[in-house]
Amino acid sequence: MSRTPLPARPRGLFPVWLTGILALAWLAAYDLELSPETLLYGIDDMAEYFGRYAAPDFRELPRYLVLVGQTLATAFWGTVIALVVALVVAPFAARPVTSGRIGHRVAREGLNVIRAVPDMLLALVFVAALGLGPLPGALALGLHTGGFMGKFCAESMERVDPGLYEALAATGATRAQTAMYVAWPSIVRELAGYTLFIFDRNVRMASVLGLVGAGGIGFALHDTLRLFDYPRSAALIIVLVVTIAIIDMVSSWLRARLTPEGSRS
Amino acid sequence: MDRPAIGMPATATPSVVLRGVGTRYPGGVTALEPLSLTIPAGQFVALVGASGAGKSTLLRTLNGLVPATSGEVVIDGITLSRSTLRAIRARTGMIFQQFNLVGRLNVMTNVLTGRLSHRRGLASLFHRFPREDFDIAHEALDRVGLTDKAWERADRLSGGQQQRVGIARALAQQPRLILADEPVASLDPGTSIEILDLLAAINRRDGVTIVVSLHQPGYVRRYADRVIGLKRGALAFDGPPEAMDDAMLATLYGADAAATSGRGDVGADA
Amino acid sequence: MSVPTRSPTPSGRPPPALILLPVGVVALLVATAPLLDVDAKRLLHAVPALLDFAGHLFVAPDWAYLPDLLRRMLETLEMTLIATLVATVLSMPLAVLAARNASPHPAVFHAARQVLSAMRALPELVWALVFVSAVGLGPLPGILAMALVTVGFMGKAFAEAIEMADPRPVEGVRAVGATRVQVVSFALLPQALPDLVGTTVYVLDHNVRSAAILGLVGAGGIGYDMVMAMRLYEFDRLTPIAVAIYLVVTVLDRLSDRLRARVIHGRGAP
Ligand SMILES: Nc1ncnc2c1ncn2[C@@H]1O[C@H](COP(=O)(O)OP(=O)(O)OP(=O)(O)O)[C@@H](O)[C@H]1O
Ligand SMILES: [Mg+2]
Repeated sequence: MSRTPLPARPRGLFPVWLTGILALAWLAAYDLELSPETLLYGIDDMAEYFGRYAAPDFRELPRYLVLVGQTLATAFWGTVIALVVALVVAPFAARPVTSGRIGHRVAREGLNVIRAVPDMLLALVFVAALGLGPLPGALALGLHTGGFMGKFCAESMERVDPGLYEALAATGATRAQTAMYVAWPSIVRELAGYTLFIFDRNVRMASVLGLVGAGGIGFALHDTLRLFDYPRSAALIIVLVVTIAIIDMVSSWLRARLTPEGSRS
Repeated sequence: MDRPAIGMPATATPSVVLRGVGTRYPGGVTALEPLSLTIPAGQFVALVGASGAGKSTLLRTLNGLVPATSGEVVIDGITLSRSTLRAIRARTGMIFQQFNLVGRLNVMTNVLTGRLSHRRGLASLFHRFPREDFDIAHEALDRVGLTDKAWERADRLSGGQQQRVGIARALAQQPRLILADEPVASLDPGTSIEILDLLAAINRRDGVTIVVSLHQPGYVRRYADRVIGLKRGALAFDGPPEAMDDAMLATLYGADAAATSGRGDVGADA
Repeated sequence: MSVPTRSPTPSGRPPPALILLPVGVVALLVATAPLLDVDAKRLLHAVPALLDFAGHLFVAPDWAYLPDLLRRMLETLEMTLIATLVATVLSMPLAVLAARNASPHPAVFHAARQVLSAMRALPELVWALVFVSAVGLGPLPGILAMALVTVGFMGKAFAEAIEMADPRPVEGVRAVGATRVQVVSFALLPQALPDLVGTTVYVLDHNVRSAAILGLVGAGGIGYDMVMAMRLYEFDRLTPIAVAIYLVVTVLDRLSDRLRARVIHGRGAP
């Protein structure tokens, strides 16, 4: 029985990629002077170290809860600011909606820039300008995540069936009218999803903005850790974990309602 | 003793023996009333019955994809149980209506999955197989005429070609029994004939027992040695294809279907 | 003299949701304003300070600092690469345990999900604070913090990708007698692969941003220099640092957009 010979096997690039990435990682580890011993040594220390968190001290719980409230409020304000930024900028950044080329470019690049600057840096700047407290944090979060929100919305608007835009353009509608009657209504569902995502992210971020003096629970945690006050640190971490877990649950519950009849795709 | 004594011709052991096998789904649906039957080795059996009659359930019960809730399934003399499940599946090929290939993997890898039950080592997890397995897979691909597509992604092939890959995967198992669940229901008549001819050749040349569920009486008459009819999960007919008359079709499918059975081999399934 | 208008609703008034939502949001903003010490006067006073700050940004860079900057930036990228790679590898087995259709047991599934969400719960910076106190200053605590959070995030994303896999190829591989791990390797992972690549690229992008600020707590990377430059008003350093971060993040952002588009686009036809 003679068989038809197999055709030549095409060469995939996967092994090349894999080797390349592993080599890079190895070089990086070498350059950072990481070694397995450091880590193992560390693990030994860490077991002892984490033991110090074993007795959380909840005596100041009321104050912590106020800090949680402040953190959530910061995240909420940040999210609303991001929404406002997106509402204004996204239509300009979406090709089918925008009119001028220059406007489009400026909007796109503007969103890119505010996305690229870390919100911690923004927070530092705002703290310098406004003084300590959660307000500069909210502004920093809002501006930075406005960049994400604007980009997401613009991309969603570009995915809308072009026929819808054509139909409205055929009636002689202005660009602004197109944005209000086609672009935004078509992406309401996505917008809600993005808002949840951004709020989620902002809660996490707001909880660490305190490190640069922008209020919230992170401020307190930074202090207690600096003073090696492990019981209070443990309590703060637990409060934070519970808060984030609750936000997580609420947002995934909301998200589940947003998806039409459970159809995922 | 489950296994045949050494020296006894293999054909003496029936391919399939069912003793009071019934199947009930977790939801409470009784898909199969307890039934008993024997399929001798080398037979080409057609399984017929209306939609929901239990054809898929019966086929899946034979290789344990659906566990029987009562009775005993014996394949090639080995009683199906948790401990024999893998060994039985290893020598039992299965062909599906929707082909059930892994679309993102190439044709060769899909065929090689037929060897998995023989390769339990770590290498197989990283998609590495010995030369011998490649030879078996190559041979199987050659049987179905798809050697030239060996390195194509499975989801790039046409439906008929994908079904032939499905058959090659079954062949790579070097099976004693092939179960086929409506293998041609998603294919056009010309391609359907090609696929059934392939199964017939595997049955005649290699003596592999074949149990195939089919909706078209024309195909049943042309290919099957024996017809098993199911109605609402119970055995309603068991006999040669010649005995399959309008009255019998009427019992299985209802009167309307029987009236059109004369040209049933062309596009009966939408 | 405005023309009276009405909304295209039966009542002529705007739909209730369109009023209630903004009103609710504004009410909540007002209610939470005291928590933030929102103060219009303070905001107005900040404007000149911000303008002044913006003016200072346009300075000639401190050229002598550039080698240090490059060194720190490289460190940031190296931390990102290692943390992401380690997390990708570690998250795979966890994801398999945390996927309903691949997990060996419902209890394991729930436990794995809980572990993953605990890892995700705290932001990298908090973990970094903790790890810095545990293992000392340097890139190691930063890498540990990022890897930990990333495993939590990727594990969940991978698990969801695995759960979205088409069950038919899974049945196909199961039917040949493959072990559970073989089914994962041959039927589930190949199907989840495009999502895995998409998630990894997204995470890489996210991790570069994290790595750039971890230095804030002494966990390596450019963040420490950034904070110091800002605190000491060393604008000739701050501007180059900001520009460097901007460039790296932008390049990665574009790259991830392109790669994701390619992977999603390259997905096989149905
Ligand atoms: N996974 C399942 N869970 C619960 N009930 C099921 C399941 N699969 C099938 N059933 C039920 O079992 C009965 C038999 O179904 P089965 O799929 O075996 O029929 P079939 O003869 O193959 O039909 P068709 O020709 O449509 O493929 C039906 O009533 C069906 O609803
Ligand atoms: Mg069926």
